[in-house]
Amino acid sequence: MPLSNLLEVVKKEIRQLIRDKRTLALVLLQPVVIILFLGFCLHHDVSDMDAFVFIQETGNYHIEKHSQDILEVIEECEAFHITNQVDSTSKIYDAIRDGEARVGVICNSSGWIGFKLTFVYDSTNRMIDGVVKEGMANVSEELLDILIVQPQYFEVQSESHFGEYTYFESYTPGILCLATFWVCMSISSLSVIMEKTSGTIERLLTTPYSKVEIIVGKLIGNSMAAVSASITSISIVFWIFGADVKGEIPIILLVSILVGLVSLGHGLLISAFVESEREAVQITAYLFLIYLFLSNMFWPLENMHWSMAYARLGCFLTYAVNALDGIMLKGYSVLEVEQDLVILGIFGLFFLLTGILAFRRKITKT
Amino acid sequence: MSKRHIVISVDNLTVKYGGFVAAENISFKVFSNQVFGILGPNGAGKTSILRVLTTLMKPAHGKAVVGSYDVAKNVKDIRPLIGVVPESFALYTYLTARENLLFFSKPYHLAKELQSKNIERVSAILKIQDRLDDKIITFSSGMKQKISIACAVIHNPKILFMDEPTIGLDPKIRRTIWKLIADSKEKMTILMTTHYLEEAEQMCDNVAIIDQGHMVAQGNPLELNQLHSAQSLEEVFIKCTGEE
Repeated sequence: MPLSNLLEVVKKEIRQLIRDKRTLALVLLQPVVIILFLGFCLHHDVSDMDAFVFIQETGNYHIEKHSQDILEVIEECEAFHITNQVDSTSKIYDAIRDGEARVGVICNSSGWIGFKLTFVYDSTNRMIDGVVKEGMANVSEELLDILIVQPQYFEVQSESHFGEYTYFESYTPGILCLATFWVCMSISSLSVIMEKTSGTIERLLTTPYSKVEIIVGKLIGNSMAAVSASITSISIVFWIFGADVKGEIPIILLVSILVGLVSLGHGLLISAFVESEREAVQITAYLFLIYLFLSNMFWPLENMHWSMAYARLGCFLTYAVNALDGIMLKGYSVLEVEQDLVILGIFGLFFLLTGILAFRRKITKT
Repeated sequence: MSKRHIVISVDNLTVKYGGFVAAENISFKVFSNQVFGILGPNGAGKTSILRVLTTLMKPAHGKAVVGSYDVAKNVKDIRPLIGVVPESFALYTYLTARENLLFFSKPYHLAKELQSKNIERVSAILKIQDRLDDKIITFSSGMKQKISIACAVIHNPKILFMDEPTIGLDPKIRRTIWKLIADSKEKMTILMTTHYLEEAEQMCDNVAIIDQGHMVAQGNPLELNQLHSAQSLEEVFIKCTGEE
């Protein structure tokens, strides 16, 4: 192989890359943004989980005498951060169910001198599971030292509030959202771009078809992709992997279709700003990664950098994952995830309207 | 024979893309049942003029009237009157030829019978009957161009705009397209851009030669030959636009 030929090909490739400003921008910016997002969002060393504590003091020597010490030991443990002290067990369960706390610590008596610590925790994220158990071990070790109590009088136990899930099951809401998002967003942006590059959009604009008919018709046609992607993903999750989660399949399907429709609108908006199929795929992949980090579908919110914790509020997949998490893992009804669904709908409308406006502007300019 | 009337009137038309002037102070008239050719080298501004006349762009200055409608104001009135053959094939590749034809004829609300009759008639002229139910993706460039032209004339437009209709096609297909243009002249007015001067000489009743956005000559090909003491339109073209 003559080296000069190879060098020519290399030179040509570098020139092409440098002169294509959009690709160059992606090449330079992508690693920076992705690494920043990774650095700020991904932490396996979860700490300071919001904890509610209930200490039932009555009738127990150790608890009455050392309630303050118990609180201090829990607070000093890196895993927990006490945000509230409540006066009943039911308030602990309510706080976890409503997402106000990740962990609840119930301290009550076990006989006259013995006592029991129960760590109730949100079991929908498997990373938290390990951290809670580690935290429990640390707290009990400290308490045994401080309280000078015989181990047989001191019991520590954990209780997963929403049931036990496998790793796969605990990630199914995120997986469903991502699969539907990817399919719908790429289908919608690519189909618009292909119409632009093939010239069919221009041809249509010289006919009596109106711009609104063209855009809305396209979206309705593409919504088949949302339905199909949702049915396929759900079928695989339930029938191939046999996920044993809560929630009715038709409800899960409807939420997944809603995620697909919002993603179609997002794709339309993207297509108004890109010039080629390659750019559309690059941007879609880019957003896929950013949304993956931001929506805390795999990594818990705790220890996410504050800037990312705010940024996630602007990511529609956050609300999609919250809603499906609620339905599939926590057993919420649709009404209980109403707020997330409404926000998701607002995102959908925003994408759709801005997408239509941007697209209209773009095709008017062509 | 009925008296000819003006179908397209372009008056001091200027077309701009941002600050770039693609065509400036262009004026010409096209009469009914004429074939009018806009000739010019690549980048002369031919397609830009066509884009204004087919309602894809608004003029920066001047006026253009298609039918009896101003392109700047009456887009919705113009679109039902025109058929457009774009420079690229602009077809849906995963639809069949028939599906493309039906889709592009739909907004004109033709009666079903007329629609079927038109498909038969146009496909017979363009010799595409045997492949009507094949997907566009399986077609050669020549076949694609034939379908593209069929899509533009399927609704019997009064005015047909064709942007380089025979570019890159083999002589056989070119002849078929010339025949369609010649046959259609009785029913419609045709404005085409081309840089095949032999084609223009043969097909066009009148031509306008554009160079670097400016009109350099216009008239009947024979008159232009006489005026410029040339043997052919190609000679006129070179005299007007200069050697490369």
